[in-house]
Amino acid sequence: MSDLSKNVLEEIKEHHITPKPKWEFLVRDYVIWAMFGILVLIGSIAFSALIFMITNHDWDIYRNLGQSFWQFLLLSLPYFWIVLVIAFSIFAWYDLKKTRAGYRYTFTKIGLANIGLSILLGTAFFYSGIGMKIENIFADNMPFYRVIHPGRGITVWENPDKGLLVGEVTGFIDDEGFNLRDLKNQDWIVSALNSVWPREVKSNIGMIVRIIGKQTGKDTFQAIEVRPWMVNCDRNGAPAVQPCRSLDRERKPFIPFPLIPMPAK
Amino acid sequence: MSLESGLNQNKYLNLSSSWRYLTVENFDKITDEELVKLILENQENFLFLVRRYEEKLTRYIRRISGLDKEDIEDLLQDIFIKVYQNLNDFDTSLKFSSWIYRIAHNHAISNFRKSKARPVTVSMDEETEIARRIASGIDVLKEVDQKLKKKVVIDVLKKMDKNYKEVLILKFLEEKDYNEISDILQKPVGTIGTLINRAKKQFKKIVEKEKIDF
Repeated sequence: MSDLSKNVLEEIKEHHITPKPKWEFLVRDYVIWAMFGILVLIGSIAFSALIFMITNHDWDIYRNLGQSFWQFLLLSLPYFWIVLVIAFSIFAWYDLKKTRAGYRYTFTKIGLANIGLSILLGTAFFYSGIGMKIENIFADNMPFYRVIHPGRGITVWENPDKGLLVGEVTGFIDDEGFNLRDLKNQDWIVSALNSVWPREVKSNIGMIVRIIGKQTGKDTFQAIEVRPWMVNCDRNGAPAVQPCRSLDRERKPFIPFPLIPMPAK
Repeated sequence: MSLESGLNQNKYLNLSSSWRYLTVENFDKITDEELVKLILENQENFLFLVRRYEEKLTRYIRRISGLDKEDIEDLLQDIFIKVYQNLNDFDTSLKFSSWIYRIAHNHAISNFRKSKARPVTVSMDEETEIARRIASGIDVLKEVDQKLKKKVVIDVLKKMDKNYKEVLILKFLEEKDYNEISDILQKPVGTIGTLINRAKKQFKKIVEKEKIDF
């Protein structure tokens, strides 16, 4: 018998060394897979919020704001969610590499599988309304979030002189227009004749709408297109996939540094 | 009771799967996977595994580390104890040899890091063999005289990156295939192919740069 084999066996016996039980390795494997599941879940939720932000953004109003499309795009991208999706995709990729057979797959294969899963789940979460809920939670509770994404740019729509108006429908004038109260509680008469005017807006007093058009007088506005504030927003039985967000929530003042008292107006 | 006598007492071990018997004389006939099962039933059987891999791993550690005999023996003792402790973690989708080489490789690398010692290249005894095998795997070198000079080869390998050196040793000296190298180094098979190609190119580049005359 060689010295090495003798020494190894003596060491094993002397120190009462035993093989680690199988369950220890199983637990390790399960923890790694559970971590992967959690990371993909968080990434998917972030992705659903990202879709929500993108689908609820008005990508065609850059001309009204005098910006180029690319300038507007750079200013409007939901960076917070993009960073979160990328970060959790990287964490999940790293975790997957730690699984038993993780090393057998290339960065591209694991990365694509991981991103594909996040897109699939994220899209499902978006259609179930989770994206909007998460975005609302962040917008309502995380001051830093409002620094990055100050609302959905509601203030952009407070520009009647640039052809952008937002407010609550307070009444209808036949089929030709409606009354609107804006964020500053100013009442408007909106003419919507020959405009793109969705059916759900026509029948819903209290609905928040954004209007692209032209200011024709001190309190009159000619609409070219009327859009509900929330896309696919569920109000009064309208076809929808997500609940509406109140104007109060949009009106909520943004305080970047809550500890510093805001100056009295 | 000595270990030898202990072994003799255990010489008729029942292999439940095949009803064969493990003896000191015929243990070479059973597979690694069967041996693992027997070790888990009786720790004395670990001796057979140590015997089976002692020489192979000694050579491999020497090739990647250049350590002397005593240091290698210390390292191997730790490696075998680690193997014993982790027997239940053996992934049966792998070859056992790939698994044990992986443990040896990782432990050796971790040992270098702890001691902050840089692994040196192959030992003098191995130089000619390495040179011959690497040269036969590199087309350009097939054209030149393959009677390589020992000193020249060790100089070339010393100048190679650690990752490239490792794959060359596993491919041309340990004679592992791409899948086995992938399992040992825990890298995708495609990456191993790329590493081997790059290693060959680097070997050739160093030879050309240094104007080494084979």
